[in-house]
Amino acid sequence: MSLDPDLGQTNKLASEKSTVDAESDAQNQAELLGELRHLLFAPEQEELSKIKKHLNDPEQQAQSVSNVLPRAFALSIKRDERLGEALQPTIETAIKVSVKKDPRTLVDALFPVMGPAIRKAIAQTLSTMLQSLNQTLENSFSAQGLKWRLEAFRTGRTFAEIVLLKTLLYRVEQVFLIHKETGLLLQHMVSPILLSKGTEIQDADMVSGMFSAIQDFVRDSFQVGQNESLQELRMGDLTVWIEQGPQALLAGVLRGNAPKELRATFQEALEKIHLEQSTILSEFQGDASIFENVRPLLEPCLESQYEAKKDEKKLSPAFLGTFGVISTLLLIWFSVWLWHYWHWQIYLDRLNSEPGIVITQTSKQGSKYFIAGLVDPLATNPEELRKQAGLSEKKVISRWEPYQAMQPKFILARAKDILQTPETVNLRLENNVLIASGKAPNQWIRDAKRWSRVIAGVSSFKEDNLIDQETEELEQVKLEIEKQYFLFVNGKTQFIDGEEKKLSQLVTTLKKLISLAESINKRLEIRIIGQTDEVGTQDLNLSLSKERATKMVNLLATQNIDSKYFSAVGIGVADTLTNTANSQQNSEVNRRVSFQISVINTK
Amino acid sequence: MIQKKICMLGAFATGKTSLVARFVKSIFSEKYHTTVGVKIDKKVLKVGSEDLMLMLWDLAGEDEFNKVQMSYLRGSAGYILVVDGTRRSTLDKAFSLQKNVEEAIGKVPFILVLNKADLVEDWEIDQATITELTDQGLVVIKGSAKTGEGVEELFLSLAEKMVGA
Repeated sequence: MSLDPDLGQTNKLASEKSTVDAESDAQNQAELLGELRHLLFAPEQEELSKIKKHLNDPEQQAQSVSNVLPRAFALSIKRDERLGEALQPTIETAIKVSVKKDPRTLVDALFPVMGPAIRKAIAQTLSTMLQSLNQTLENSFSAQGLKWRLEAFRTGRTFAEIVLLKTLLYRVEQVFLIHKETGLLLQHMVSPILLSKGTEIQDADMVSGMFSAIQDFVRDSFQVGQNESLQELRMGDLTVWIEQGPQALLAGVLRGNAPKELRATFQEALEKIHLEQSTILSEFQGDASIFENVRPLLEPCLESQYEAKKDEKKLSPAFLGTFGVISTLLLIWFSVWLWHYWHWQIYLDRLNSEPGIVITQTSKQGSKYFIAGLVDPLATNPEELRKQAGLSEKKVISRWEPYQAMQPKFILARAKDILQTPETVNLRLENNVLIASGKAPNQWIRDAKRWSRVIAGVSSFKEDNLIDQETEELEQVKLEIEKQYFLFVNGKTQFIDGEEKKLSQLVTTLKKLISLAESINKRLEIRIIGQTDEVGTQDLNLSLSKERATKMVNLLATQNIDSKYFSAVGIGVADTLTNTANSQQNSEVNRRVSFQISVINTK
Repeated sequence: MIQKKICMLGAFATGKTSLVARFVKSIFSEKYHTTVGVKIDKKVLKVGSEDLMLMLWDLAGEDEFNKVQMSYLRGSAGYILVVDGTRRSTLDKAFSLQKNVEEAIGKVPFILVLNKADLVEDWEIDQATITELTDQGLVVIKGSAKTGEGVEELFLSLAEKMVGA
């Protein structure tokens, strides 16, 4: 009779409790109770049963829970992290299942996030690589490299950066945003430069269609993994970079040599587009006008076009001026220094090679050079050498002290000077032996013999080849006299006419002879020789010749020439002269006296 | 303007190229067929009051040496099967292609065009066959590249089918 099982259950319990005693009584009571309950609580009982039914129905329960679930989550999150912790295993499982089912779903969802993270990691690696690249480039030393090095130093960039900068020259010409699935063009942008040039641009729709076709073609034709995608097309200096996203791809057409950073710009633009337009992308049915607002996102791809900055033009005039002045001054100073140094070396070389000069010290004192040494008075003056070397005296401080050089040249020069060598004497030094040759006065020879030994470096004096001047003169006079003869009258001791005039001349000469001989300590023996012609007897001629000779002696005595020098000799007819054909003349010539002189050394 | 990708399929030498040559804008030459296997053309037409741009993927014809690349079909909103009315075998080929396409991209609107309608004497497909096809629910259009018959109608029908769907 109970309306619901629970009630029935209570009844059963109740009945079990009091089964023995008043079963029938209880039953009645129960019935009444039930009826009472029903009367009182009918609406509530209905409600209750509805609720119970609701709770038991899983579908209905799910419905109600789903309504409150988001709110419940929000509230729980605000309170604490228990929900997150509780959900963790569930989410892990969910991810696993999702990946197992189709990894692309998760990848697509993570695409906008993963990109920047990966790029950051790559950038780090690249910067270290750039460092090593820098190291490698350090070793390049071309003229251009040096110029770039200077620029790097000046602008504060690394050398590798400058190298890349200088070698870069590119331009992004077009950018295509293409729907992957259909190959339809979503947006197309052309660089203003291209437009201004009036370059013909092919229909972007068809180009993008063909573009997708090419990708499929490559994938189909060659063994390429399904997840691989085309990234770059290159032909000459034209490059197309393709960035792939889950629903759209970005193709940038550029000419030249673009840096890595540009690729990153493309990637970022694509990621942003995916992030902001994900729903629109997935629902794309062909209406590309909805992608107009994507254009600003694509702008940066076009704008990152630049040619190598001509930084050189930015060189400030002040910098250039100062640099120029300083470098010129440095150059001048350097060249002046070098010039002086070079001439100084020349001077030193000259001094070193010059005999009679000894360098004891050289140094640099401030801007001047200092030199000290010994110089022989007979040597070349160092100042002369300095002038020859082209050094001004203001540049050089010198201190020269005299000394005696012992080279033969100097000993000889000194000897010449000390001995007061006359010009007629030629002095020569051989193995410290002073050899004189030529002619010198006797006195000089005697002095030289004595004084030469005092000269430092001279061990002995040799005058073998030296001719005594006086001796020579004596000889000359002697010969002069010996040439002379006086002619006599036939048979007599009388001179022929005019012969007496020759006497005074003879006397003079004889006197000269005598004084000369005396001055050099030589003894004279003058033989006056008389002769006759062939006429007459030998005895007669002999005595006549003797008389003639004696006459001469006496004659000379009257002229104050001491007879001790003379010896009168008569030789008669001997030694006749026959120098002419005329016999008469011959006879005349033979009637004469002549002289014969001997010069004898006294020592 | 709305864009839709459509593909042109058919056996070798069914006249696909001639069929569309005069009526679509193309910037790519015929060699793309043999090198890449596809040539992109563009056709703009008015469907109702709206302009619609059709990107035509003109696929290279199939024969014993070349199979049509199914990957090109991806993302198509519709396709055109071209048959050479003077060769029955090309009709069979069209059917097999259609099956392949359906396998690859699912149920996508298409039009069957019987080309070379001007060669009446050599015609191999009789009216009975055509009726059979239309009864099956296929849209069949007779056309001729030479005369231009049926070309505009062809694209318009497909467009309507795509938009309608």
